[in-house]
Amino acid sequence: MSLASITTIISTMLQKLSELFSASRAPAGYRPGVTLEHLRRNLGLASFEQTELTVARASLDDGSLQLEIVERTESQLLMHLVMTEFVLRVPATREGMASFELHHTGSVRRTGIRCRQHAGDAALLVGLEAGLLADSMLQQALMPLDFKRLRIDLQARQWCVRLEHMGGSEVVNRMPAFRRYIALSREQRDWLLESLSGLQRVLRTL
Amino acid sequence: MSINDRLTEHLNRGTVGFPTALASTIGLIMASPVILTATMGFGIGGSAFAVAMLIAVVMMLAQATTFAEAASILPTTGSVYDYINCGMGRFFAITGTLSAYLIVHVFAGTAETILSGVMALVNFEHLNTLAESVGGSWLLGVGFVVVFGILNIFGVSAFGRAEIILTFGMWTTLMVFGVLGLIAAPAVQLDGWFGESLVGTDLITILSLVGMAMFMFVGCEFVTPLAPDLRQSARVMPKAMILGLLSVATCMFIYGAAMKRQVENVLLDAASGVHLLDTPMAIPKFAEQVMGDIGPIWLGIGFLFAGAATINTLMAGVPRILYGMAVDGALPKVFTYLHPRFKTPLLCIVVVMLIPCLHALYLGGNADNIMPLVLAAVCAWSFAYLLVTLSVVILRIRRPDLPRAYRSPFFPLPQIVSSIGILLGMWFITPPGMNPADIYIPFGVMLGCTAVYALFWTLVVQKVNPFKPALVEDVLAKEFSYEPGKHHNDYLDHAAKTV
Repeated sequence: MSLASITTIISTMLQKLSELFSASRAPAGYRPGVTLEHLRRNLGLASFEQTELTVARASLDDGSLQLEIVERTESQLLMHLVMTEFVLRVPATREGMASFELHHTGSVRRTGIRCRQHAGDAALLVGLEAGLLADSMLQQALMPLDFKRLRIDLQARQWCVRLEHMGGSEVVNRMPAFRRYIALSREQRDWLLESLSGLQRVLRTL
Repeated sequence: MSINDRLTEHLNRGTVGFPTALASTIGLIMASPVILTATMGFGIGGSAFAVAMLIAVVMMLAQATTFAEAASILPTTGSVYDYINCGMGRFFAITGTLSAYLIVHVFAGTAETILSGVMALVNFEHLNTLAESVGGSWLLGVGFVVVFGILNIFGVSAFGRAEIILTFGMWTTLMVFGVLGLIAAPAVQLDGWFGESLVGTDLITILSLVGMAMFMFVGCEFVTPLAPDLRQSARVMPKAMILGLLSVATCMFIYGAAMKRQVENVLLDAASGVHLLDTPMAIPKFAEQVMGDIGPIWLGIGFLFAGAATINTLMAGVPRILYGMAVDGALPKVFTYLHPRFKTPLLCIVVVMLIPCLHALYLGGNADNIMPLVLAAVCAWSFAYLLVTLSVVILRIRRPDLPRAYRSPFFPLPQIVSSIGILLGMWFITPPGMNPADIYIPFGVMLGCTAVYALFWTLVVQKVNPFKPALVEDVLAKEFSYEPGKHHNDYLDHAAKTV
């Protein structure tokens, strides 16, 4: 066997090993699009179009809210979780870069909403907090909403809201092998859409 | 599209190949209770245990063909529940599924909690002495449960990227030690490969060891819910199950023979008749004999990671499942409580944490209680297997028209062999020197509670006939409807009619 062919074999093996241990490798047993399909039924929106295997576009029936929904996975030993993320893009009235994260406060019961700034102009945080406080409908929707993560970023004159809900996700176990879809309940669905509409309202004026 | 075409398309599609299916059938090989059962079994039974293992392999191979046929008719993620539901109705389906998974976890999960710490620390002499002085090395397993429970409460995922390394590590560890133990010069003079039996070699004794032997193979059906994800699952599934069973058997035979060749089974306590191979202490002895000082460290680290990873998987997955059931109304609403800041199902995690910890604390971490727990788990598993076999037989008789991409060969011989074997295994499950009540009473109580719950749930909550079997077509229609892009159950119009 020539040196060139040995080198080729070794580089192919290394490539395969790198893919095997790569962080971006899809977990074994992951069925792209299946969780999105479950979520489509929970959302019950007339406009829901799967643009890619793991990405869908949806909008409210009156067209006032347009969303992108993205599936992502998180690996564990012999199991993985499939989560869905709601992405809302709103044109910004200003330039700049900023990044915020919203979460509930309280140790046993939810007592309020806290906004943490990771980057950007501090004046924006004041504006965002004032906007959140002023919009009582948004407050009422956000408080009971079971969101795991809620991130708001400003970049290239555009606000981007990324919300990951506890529902609309799936547990896929391989030992023992079973799946369980965690539904987005009717109430949570209503609060979710109300929250995203409210955030769109606030960010448009910021 | 006809049901046959849809089923064929469904069976051929998929994202998972043969290696994953094979890994699922043998992934539990390094679980601490499995290793201790093998060590004890070969210790007390020697060649008689090897014969019991052979009987168990034949029974499980026959059972595997039944599971493969069921999975080819109903390639659903519900697996055991759907097979029994279509054969015998919801009451048996709920009882069988809870028996196969929940009851087994209550027994085997507690055994894992107690043993994971014991098996790991017993390999590190100083650490073990220290652990024993503060209450016992079994508390390490309880510690694992608590630590991983707390990590999950804070939303931290451990072992996320280490799956392949860990599973590969568990495999090679056992094989390397087994093969090295076989090729090294023997430290014990043995009659035959596995030595003499301490409890006799008559038929009844061998049958009483079959229950223990079965514990090494139960779980081969864990691959069946993967059916919708497997490429060409009708072909891959039986191949993976059969090869998986044979691989586990080979590995355990090698391990058992190596252990008996390298470790003298000395009597530790004349009053109770406890020998070295009945205890976890045999493991570091074996490791040191095979690989010197590095052996116990390697094996100890292997058990430590295997135990921690198994417990973490339970802590990460089961609470979310309980939360999902509560959202669907199958469990009380209180289980939908999420921590305000971390949005983790706090109550579900605490419950999943408490079950094995309290059970282990109740048993005082006593390793003597492990074997009755393991055997009660075998009874629960066996019961579910019997229900699946009955359902497959009923479906063959009642619905011969159903498309079967895989048919169990020589029907009904494998079903008769596995059922008789399982019944005999359950009847003679108590090994010599053990009290049958320690196995049958906890199993019977748990099974009774499960049956009462199943009856209450079907009659009062679901308000359905608990004994009316579900239509295969309905179950398949539900499964197919979740495929991406399939928004209508269009195949139902063309489904095969009930005979």
